[in-house]
Amino acid sequence: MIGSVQSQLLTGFLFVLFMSLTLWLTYRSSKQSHNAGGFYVAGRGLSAWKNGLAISGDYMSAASFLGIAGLVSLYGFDGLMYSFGFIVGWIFIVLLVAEPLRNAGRYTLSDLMAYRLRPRPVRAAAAASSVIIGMFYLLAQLVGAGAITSLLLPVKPEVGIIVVGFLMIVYVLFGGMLATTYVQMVKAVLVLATSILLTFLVFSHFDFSLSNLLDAASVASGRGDAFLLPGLYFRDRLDLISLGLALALGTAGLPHIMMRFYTVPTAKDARRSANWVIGVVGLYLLMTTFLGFAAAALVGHTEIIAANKAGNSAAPLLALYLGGGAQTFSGNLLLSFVTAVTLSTILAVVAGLIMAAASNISHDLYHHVIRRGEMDDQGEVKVAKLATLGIGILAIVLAIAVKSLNVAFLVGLAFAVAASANLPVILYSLFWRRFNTTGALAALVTGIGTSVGLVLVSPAIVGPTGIIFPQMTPLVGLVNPGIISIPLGFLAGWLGSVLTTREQTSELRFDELRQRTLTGYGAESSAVNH
Amino acid sequence: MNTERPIAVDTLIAEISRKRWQCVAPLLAISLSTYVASLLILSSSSSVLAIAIWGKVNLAYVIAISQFIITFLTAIIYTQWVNNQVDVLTAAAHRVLCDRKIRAEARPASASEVNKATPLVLTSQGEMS
Repeated sequence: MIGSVQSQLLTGFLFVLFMSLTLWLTYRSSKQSHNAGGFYVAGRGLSAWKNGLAISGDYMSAASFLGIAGLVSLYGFDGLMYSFGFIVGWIFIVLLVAEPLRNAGRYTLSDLMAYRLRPRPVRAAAAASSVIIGMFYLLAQLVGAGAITSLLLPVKPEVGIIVVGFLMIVYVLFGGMLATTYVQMVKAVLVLATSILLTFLVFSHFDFSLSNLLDAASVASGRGDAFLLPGLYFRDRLDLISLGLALALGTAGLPHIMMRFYTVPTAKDARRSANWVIGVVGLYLLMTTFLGFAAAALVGHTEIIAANKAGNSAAPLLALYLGGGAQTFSGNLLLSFVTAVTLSTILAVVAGLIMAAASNISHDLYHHVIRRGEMDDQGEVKVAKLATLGIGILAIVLAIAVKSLNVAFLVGLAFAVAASANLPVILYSLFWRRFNTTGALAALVTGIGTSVGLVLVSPAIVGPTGIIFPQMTPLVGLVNPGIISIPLGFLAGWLGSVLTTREQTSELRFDELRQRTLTGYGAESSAVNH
Repeated sequence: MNTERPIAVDTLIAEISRKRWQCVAPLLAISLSTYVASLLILSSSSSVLAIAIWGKVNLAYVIAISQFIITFLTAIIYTQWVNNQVDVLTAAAHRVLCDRKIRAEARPASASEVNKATPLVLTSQGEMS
């Protein structure tokens, strides 16, 4: 705990201010989210830049702001892997997925995955993978919330996790997608502005020379030039490649990001949104790496580790330093501002995640699988709200269990599941006529099974560096399972299709899907109250 | 455009697909191969990575930053291409399909078939203020 009474009061004030703004926006938008289209996809009426900003908001999560800065501050170059892996994923989205997805689906990513295939089994499996991805991502945000509240307040991380967890449930229950979109937009602007301010202060400290910054970081780290080279975090070269693949291929399979492409009126707007994201997020990710090196140079390894052993507190500590230190008003003000922005960020990202997971349960599992599509909009929204409550509570409990893990690492796992289970089904659905239901189920089950299974026996979970069974030797040494689970997911999808009989419906629907994705004909139309 | 004469939608769709891939395939190949090559080089622990490019900025850092530049360039090139080469074809195909639907609706016998389709009203009324 480094916060003084002054900084605690300031943070409280700023947090309440940001929250009031977003709650007001939520209240305004709640009147427009009473049907399913309004609740899930904001009536498909958002402009491209608003959606782009909201998706950027999703990316500006605790994972990047706290996690990347933390890893770079402790391990130097290896932390950069997350930042450029995150951005490269957008190449796939803009080239292959954004526009077809907007034209093909309705509310969730599973709409596209089940378009050509037997919908019930595919939706059930797709919903499972989406909920698991959402859960890993949620855990990362809540762990970040715990780290930052315990840094500032005389409370345990668990308290931060519980408070933020319940606030997010309230947001989603009352506002739906439109509210979470507005929250994301407000917070995207806040985080971007904060990052620009901190980056400016950092560079002014180093005579606006990147070389000076890197030099100071490598000296202060005690590792010398090795700090500026790969190898301190990813001891095994396979780890680096594995994470790199998961990050680049996983983005297109993230349900909470992909469902945002349904909130714009046309495929062209989906493309414009993706371009907005690449510009805004690219700039932001670059800045988080500067902040990480600056934290290493100015705050120092010992103090960062003392505040949070995974490095999650590096960015707020840097803000305190840049403001003038713990004894000054300006230091406390900057710390409070960064903390309040980060808490708002976490709340917003978490709300979006819960939103996506709740949609998977109500729209895919309940509406399509259990009720076989016979259910009205109002009933579906009710189930979505119940699911919100259930997922929210489960996430709070699990986050308390994994609170010692780095948030960027946790998000890396979500990307691995997305790349191994969802991506094969999305790409095969869009581009391979022969793909069938068995192939989809094989890819989903194999992708989920191998990625989650490998994580459970990895050094992060078991063994001396893990959170359970400290005496046990981890069965695999990989930090991220991507390099094994992604090829297996694709292979299972291919084998499942070619080893079983051709599915005539799937092949006929392939032409229909192709027409729909390429022309937009038959795509869901934009209307607030449709 | 003469809407009386049947227009081969399939030809238009094939052309849209061809034009898209003309741009997507090379962009995907270049960006993916550079990314994988970067991962392989970075994981190789090669001493080449330590080569100073500018002060303390080494080759490893330049490789990392170049991923951002490649992503920006890919998005710009793709968007320019689609705006100039594909959007006009997409709009034409969409129009032909809509015309076909209108003609079908005029025939009562096939009305039930057509009603399955979602009404195509692309409007900006849903734009939130």
